[in-house]
Amino acid sequence: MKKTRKLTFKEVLMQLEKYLRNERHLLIMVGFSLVMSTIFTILAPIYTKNITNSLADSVAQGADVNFPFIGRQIIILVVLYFLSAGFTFYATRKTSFLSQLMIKRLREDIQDKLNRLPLNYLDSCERGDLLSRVTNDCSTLSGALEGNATQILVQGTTIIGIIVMMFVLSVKLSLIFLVVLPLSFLILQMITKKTQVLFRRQQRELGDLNGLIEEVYSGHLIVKSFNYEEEASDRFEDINKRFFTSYLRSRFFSGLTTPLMKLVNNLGYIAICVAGGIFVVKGSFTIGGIQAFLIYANDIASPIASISNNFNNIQAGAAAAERILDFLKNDEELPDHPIQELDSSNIEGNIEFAHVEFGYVPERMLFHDVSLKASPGQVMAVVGPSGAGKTTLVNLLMRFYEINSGVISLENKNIQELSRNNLRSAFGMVLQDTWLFDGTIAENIAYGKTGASREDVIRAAKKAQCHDFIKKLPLGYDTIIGGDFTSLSEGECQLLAIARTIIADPAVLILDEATSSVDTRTELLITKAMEEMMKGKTTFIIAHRLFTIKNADQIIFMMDGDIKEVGSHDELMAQDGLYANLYLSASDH
Amino acid sequence: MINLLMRYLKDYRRQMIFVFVFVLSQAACQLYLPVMMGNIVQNGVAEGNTQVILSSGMHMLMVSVAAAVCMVASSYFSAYVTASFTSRIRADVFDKVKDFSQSDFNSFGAATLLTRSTTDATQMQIVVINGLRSLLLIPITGVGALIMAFRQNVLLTFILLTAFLVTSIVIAMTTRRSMPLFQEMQKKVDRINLLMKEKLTGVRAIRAFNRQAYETDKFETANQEGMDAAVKASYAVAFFSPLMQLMMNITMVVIYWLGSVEVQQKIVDISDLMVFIQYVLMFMSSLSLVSVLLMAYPKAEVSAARVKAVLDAPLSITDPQNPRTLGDVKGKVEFRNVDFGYAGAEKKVLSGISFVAEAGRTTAIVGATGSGKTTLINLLLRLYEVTNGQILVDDVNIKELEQKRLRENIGYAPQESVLFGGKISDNMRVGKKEATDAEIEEALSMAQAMEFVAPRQDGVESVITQGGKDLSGGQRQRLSIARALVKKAPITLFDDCFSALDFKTDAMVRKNINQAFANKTMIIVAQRISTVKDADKIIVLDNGLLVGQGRHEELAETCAVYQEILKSQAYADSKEESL
Repeated sequence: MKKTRKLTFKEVLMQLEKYLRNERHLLIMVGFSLVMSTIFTILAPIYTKNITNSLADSVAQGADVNFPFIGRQIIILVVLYFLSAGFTFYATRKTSFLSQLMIKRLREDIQDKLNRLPLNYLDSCERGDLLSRVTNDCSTLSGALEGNATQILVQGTTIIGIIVMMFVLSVKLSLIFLVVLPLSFLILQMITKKTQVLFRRQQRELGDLNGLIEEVYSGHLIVKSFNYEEEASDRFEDINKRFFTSYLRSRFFSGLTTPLMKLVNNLGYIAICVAGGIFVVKGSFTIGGIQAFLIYANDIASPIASISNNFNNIQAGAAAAERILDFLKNDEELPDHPIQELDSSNIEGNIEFAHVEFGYVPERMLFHDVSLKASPGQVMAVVGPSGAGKTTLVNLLMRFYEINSGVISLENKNIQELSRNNLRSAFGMVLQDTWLFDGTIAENIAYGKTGASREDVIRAAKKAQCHDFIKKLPLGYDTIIGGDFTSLSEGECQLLAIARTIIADPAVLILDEATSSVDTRTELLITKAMEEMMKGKTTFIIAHRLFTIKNADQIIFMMDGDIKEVGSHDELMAQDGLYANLYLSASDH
Repeated sequence: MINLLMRYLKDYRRQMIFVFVFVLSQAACQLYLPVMMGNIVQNGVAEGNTQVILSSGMHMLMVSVAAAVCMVASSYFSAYVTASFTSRIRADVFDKVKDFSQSDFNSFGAATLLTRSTTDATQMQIVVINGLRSLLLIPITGVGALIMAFRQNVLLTFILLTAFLVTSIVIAMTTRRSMPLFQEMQKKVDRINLLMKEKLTGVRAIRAFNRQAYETDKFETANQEGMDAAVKASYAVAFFSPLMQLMMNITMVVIYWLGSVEVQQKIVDISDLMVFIQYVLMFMSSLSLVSVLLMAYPKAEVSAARVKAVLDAPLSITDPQNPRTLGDVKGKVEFRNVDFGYAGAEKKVLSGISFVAEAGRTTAIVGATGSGKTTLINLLLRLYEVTNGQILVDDVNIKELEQKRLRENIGYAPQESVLFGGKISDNMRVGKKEATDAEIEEALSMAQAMEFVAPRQDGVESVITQGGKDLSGGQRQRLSIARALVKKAPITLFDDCFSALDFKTDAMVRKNINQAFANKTMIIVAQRISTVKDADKIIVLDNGLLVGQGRHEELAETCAVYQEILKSQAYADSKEESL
């Protein structure tokens, strides 16, 4: 992950703003409604004050209750409450909509980005971290937007509005009450500081715990068959105990917030009662005023208690947003500048490497001046000890990575001058780690060809020898695989990948150890099917079997990441180099 | 959810009682405040008695402090209960999964089990934290306020009560309607996350097949559906909180009106009305807290159901009541008419398998992919249960043994080598806790792993990452073989673990094993004929049937399937080697 400067809160907001730019009027409407609804709520106690005062006056004077006046106040109250509720309703709906819309757009950007990131970035990244960015962080952000952003607006307006109204009611009483407010914030801050440390520790312990769970689950087979259950439990208990302690502490400290806030609030309440009462006795205040003041004191308590919590959540949301934005800022693949185009239906399979230099990192070059030429229909066996960098060759052919210098050409066209899609449509490959997605078997096979019919799928499956085992599965071709379903063996997954390539029917084949985990009997059948498919097609085959190697038109011998020797078996044997050496050491057994 | 909570919380009865007592005291204190306020208004303000005002104020102050102390105490105990709950439930899920047989495990899937033990547990814990105190406090304050209100004025309380009933009905209806919507939303979010994950893991395939546009379409659909579901769910509850607020406010207005009438009729005093309204306010704030809780509830409910499904899943393989014991294990393994099929599958994976692997001998199993070789090994380890027939070790049916005792006697190198993060030596001790360093080194050398372990800085004490991602496939496989060898069990199973090794290493490893394990039972699943040629007995599987057993020479004469395999490998090269 590229290190970027930490964004300020404002910058994050500015960057997120573009996702809702075309909804600006709606944003303004939501803000307006929230403020309006809050103002209406705040105004209400004024009218309840009028009622109480009117009642108190009537009682004091021994007169009849002034019902027309009270009736008017009540009507105003009802109107205020209805307006407030209406605005809140509108704002809540629209906020959900807006935050969901934004998350959706953000996700679109993320997935788009994933399409365009260079493989070297994705290969070098910790997958779990990346995944957590695109999933968890999105959820955190949407939660923060939906719940907390509007809450802050409401709470902010409420606090300010109530303070204003308090001053309108009585400056003296307000000043007394406001002594209490800073106290609340001070307490909150102290607690938050302490709890942040504790929460971080708790998250770390939780991370350890989850790590262990993941490890034990993914090794379930081993855990069972080696009687490792108790050991695993002991390790779990150990971490879990630590988690318990840190959880208890962080919970307790954060739980202190409420009682302390309540206490401070009660102090305010008492102050109002006592001071207000004295003011009323002295005639400088009314009973209705106390009443209204108490309502305000009650109403201001919860926003004060929760606004800082909301700020914290917003901060968490902002941190999540920052991580996402950070991800979106990564350099993309060089854009395609297709100067030429290949007619993919008419590719013979001429491939040439001319003086290719390549290294994953510039400081460590792997390919030094590699030149080779594959003519149409030739079988190129890529050979070398494991870790010799055979997949590098594939990465370059398919232009997953860009070479540092030299030229790779297909049909005498520099592959850098073709669009990637155009280039890749010429290739078919069976990857070392077969990738199956969450879907039915049929869908996974049909992946190789747009609009493949069920007949196409079955035909390909039969050719790839997977028809039989598919029929053994509960739902046959409609069995859902990928995702959680793990009951296919490695060999079976590979057969499906082969079927997928068979259905794609590409011009150039890259068989990346396609048969390494398939047993020899099946291997023979596949080899036959592939020979059929390979007819007239240039094939790069990362090979183990001597038969394949000896019968290949050319052998590409790799070692230490570089291509060392290229030529036919006889040529290389005559050369008496590295290949000949290895061959002899293997076969004199 | 409630069910699950009860199950756990009942063990913390004492702490719960403390929580309850302190919450109750706190609520009582809180409820006392308006009474004192009424006192201030009635006896202080109305009479113009500043002394009463001040002394009542002092009273209130003391009561507030007492309330705060009670809250701190209840906070501690509720934190204790929550912490216990959350660590206990994780431990229980973990232990349960640990006891799962392979088929139980696969019926859930590793990914979802992981979510259930991590994310779902967290989700529930959030509700417990918020719920424990609030759930107690709210009804107590609510009911308390109601009772106090009732003492003040009967008619007004009935109005309040009516409002409360209506609100409760609204809450119940909203929850019922929105719950499925939230579940739906969760499903869509899971789908989006799954697609994201696929995009990451399948990036090469997606690009190689030029399916970016297809993937984008697929994602856009899921994304749109996700948004729609989320918006729909939030719309379903959007009216909730404003409506509640409105209803309570209107109730208050009604109380003002009727209160005014009663003041006129001299039924109530104005200070009573003020106190009453304080209680209404208190009652309202507890109700609004309920609504906040209820919003979080559907999510936790879904999680709870998922966790509960794991905890309550029946174990398909359990130990017998009165297990038989194995003495000194000789290592004879017998399959008698064994059938195995996945529940609901059209075809059986294995049927009518009968053979004997003699003690101290090497038995090899060959056959095409999907012919049932790995299944056979898993059945012997009792990771799956046979559908029919029996498997016997030293003439004892393995169903009559404790699983632990059975597996104690079996060393196992699986097809896919799984290593744990940590020291190499710890990995080696997985099967035999008390293995000495010498034993470990011996096993590593036998598996030809010393050559890459020794040069590491800390040798066998060096640390590998989880899953051994920093090792090559062949290296992982060799460690996995060594791990099986450390055990020196009477029976050792090698499930096709030699094929990832290059030819030379393969030959060396097998030579070492044959020497050291000469008198032990070995069952080897293999693909290369060269690996199995010298076995005492070869079992040939084809499509779940046993189609031949005997020595190499016999099978080469009589068994058609074996001949076919032979031919396919002869086709490769008479030498049948690989680089």
